[in-house]
Amino acid sequence: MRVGSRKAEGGGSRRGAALGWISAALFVLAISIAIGACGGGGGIGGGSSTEASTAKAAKKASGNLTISNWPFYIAEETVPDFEKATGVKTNYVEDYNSNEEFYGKIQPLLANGESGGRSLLAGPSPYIVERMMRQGYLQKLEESAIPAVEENLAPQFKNPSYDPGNEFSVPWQSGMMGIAVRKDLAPDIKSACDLFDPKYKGKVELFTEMRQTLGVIMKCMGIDTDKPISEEDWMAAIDKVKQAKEDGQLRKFAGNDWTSELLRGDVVASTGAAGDTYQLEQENPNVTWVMPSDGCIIFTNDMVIPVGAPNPTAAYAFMNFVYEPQNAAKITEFTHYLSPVAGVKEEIAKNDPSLVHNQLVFPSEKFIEKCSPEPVLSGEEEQKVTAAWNAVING
Amino acid sequence: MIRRRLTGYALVLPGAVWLAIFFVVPMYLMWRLSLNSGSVETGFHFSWDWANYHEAFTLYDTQFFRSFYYAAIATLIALAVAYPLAYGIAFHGGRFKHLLLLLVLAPFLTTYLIRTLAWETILNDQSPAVHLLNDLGLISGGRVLGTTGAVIAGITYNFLPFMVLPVFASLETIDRRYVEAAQDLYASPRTAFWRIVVPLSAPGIVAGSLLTFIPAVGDYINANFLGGPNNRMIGNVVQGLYLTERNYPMAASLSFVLMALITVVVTIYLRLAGSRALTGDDLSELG
Repeated sequence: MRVGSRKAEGGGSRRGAALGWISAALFVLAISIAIGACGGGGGIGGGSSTEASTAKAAKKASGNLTISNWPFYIAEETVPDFEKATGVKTNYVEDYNSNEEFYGKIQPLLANGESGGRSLLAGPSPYIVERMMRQGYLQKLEESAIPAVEENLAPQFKNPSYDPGNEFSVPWQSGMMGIAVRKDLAPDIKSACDLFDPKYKGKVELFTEMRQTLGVIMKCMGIDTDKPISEEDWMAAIDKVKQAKEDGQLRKFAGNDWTSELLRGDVVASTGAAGDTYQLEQENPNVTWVMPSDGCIIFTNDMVIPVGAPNPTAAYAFMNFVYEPQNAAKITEFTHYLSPVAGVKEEIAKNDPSLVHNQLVFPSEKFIEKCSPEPVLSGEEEQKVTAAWNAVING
Repeated sequence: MIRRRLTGYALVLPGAVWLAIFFVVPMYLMWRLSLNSGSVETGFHFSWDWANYHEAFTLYDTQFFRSFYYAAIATLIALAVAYPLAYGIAFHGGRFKHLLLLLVLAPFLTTYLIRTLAWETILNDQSPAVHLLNDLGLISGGRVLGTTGAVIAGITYNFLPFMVLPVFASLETIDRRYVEAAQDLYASPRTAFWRIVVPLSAPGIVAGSLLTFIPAVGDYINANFLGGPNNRMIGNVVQGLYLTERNYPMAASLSFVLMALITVVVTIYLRLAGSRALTGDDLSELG
């Protein structure tokens, strides 16, 4: 009926048409905004591979400092103590849920030279540090600004293969990835391969962190993870996990959300880090960490200063602060992770001598003789293996 | 008349601009992205890369099928639950009608996420509810979480008001005299219900099932918290591709395939269930 009346009134339709044109123009405008936003065929991503600059330190730290890290990875008093000692107002954010997820969140910012206000990341695993170095997302550290690190970094943590001379990174904490079990519900789990025992169907959890999870599993499959690992071996481990998933053996693939099921007993065994598990044990004494009979994977998380960090001076001050043995000792007492700071053991011996003999915090050579560092992947192999792993955990 | 037509355009304009900026433009960007190739490391480039679409079907066909299957079952259950409920409130609610409706809506004043997490707690393996279900032999394996049933139940629960409200609205507007007239003409209560009440409430049923089905297909919260690794829906895959794998083109193409599939399914549904029911044309002969 509208169409009919349109014909009859020429003048009206002209003015109507004018309005139509206005909306058409607005539409075109909107489209051109869209094309503009797309950067003329550019799109998202693309690392700038310019020479990395050095994060310059001013004389005295002040202002605000934002740090990103994993949850439960610091002592309660560390940040308040640091604020008291330096006057730097610190925003310590526990926004790491998985390496890849955090990287995915921050990468678009870093590609634009921004860090979302963060001056220090304390959570990345070595392979992410290496990737960020390659993409020009990290700033070099000024050696003279971190005297405490120079002095107290334990020798075995110096010069990692991905960052010789610790130009970009300083270890935050290190840990042992093994198995967390409910000793009341799954007392006989001794190796990572026991996680695949049909007896525990639907009650097993694995981490989404590929290198650590598959590392532990490959060790029980008899694959030597100290040597470079072949693509077939990676794929064999992925197939094992895939089969378990299809059989309904696995309850879930977890990030930080791995704790509640284990505490409740819906899950009876999971991949788990010794430090994390110690903290769960405080909540439920039936949760305990098991050193796999085939050895653990030793991982590290590093402190790095991203590009666009608004306050590198404060970040350096924080690095120095946590590398003072008495401050590092508090973190160790709280988290039970392995400390990269020399002198922590002596410091702890003063307050809590029993902790010094805890193999999970100060492991002896013999205790970790079968353990290996987090396995590495590179180039095309990394892409293929990661794609296969993602297809299993995401499909 | 001229002014009236002008008014019409003027009224449409804000909505049209809104849609252009917040619907057409994002759609265009997504479509462009879906044809990109490359990776985060090397950068993405627009290259008419249709391989993303091919892979969307070959890699994630299971999850697509699962999403539609879960959403369809959840919609049917929601209708089976919502219809008697809405009928009861509309026809027998009396002066408590609005209170009863409020009770239906009350849980939904809490956020979606909290409600779903609450179900995760209620349905954990150690809960009395699950023990009871197990003793009654209604579940196997002693657990509810991490199963298909839990995900479908979660979706049904979360989208129930979208079914109740439209059905209630259409039931409430039914003129009771039609039912009385039918009974005067010797229709049994059952016949009156099926021949008069149900057809008159068809617009509500169609609207409710669309409002339930469409968001349910793309849902990922329920599968995430209530499901296991074998219950992941296409929404979970898209989320994972965006947030962890950072394969933006693939995620964008999956989103487009999902939209296309939903459009096809909804079109077929409207053809079968009758778009006339939705627009109310069916009722003109009665009205």
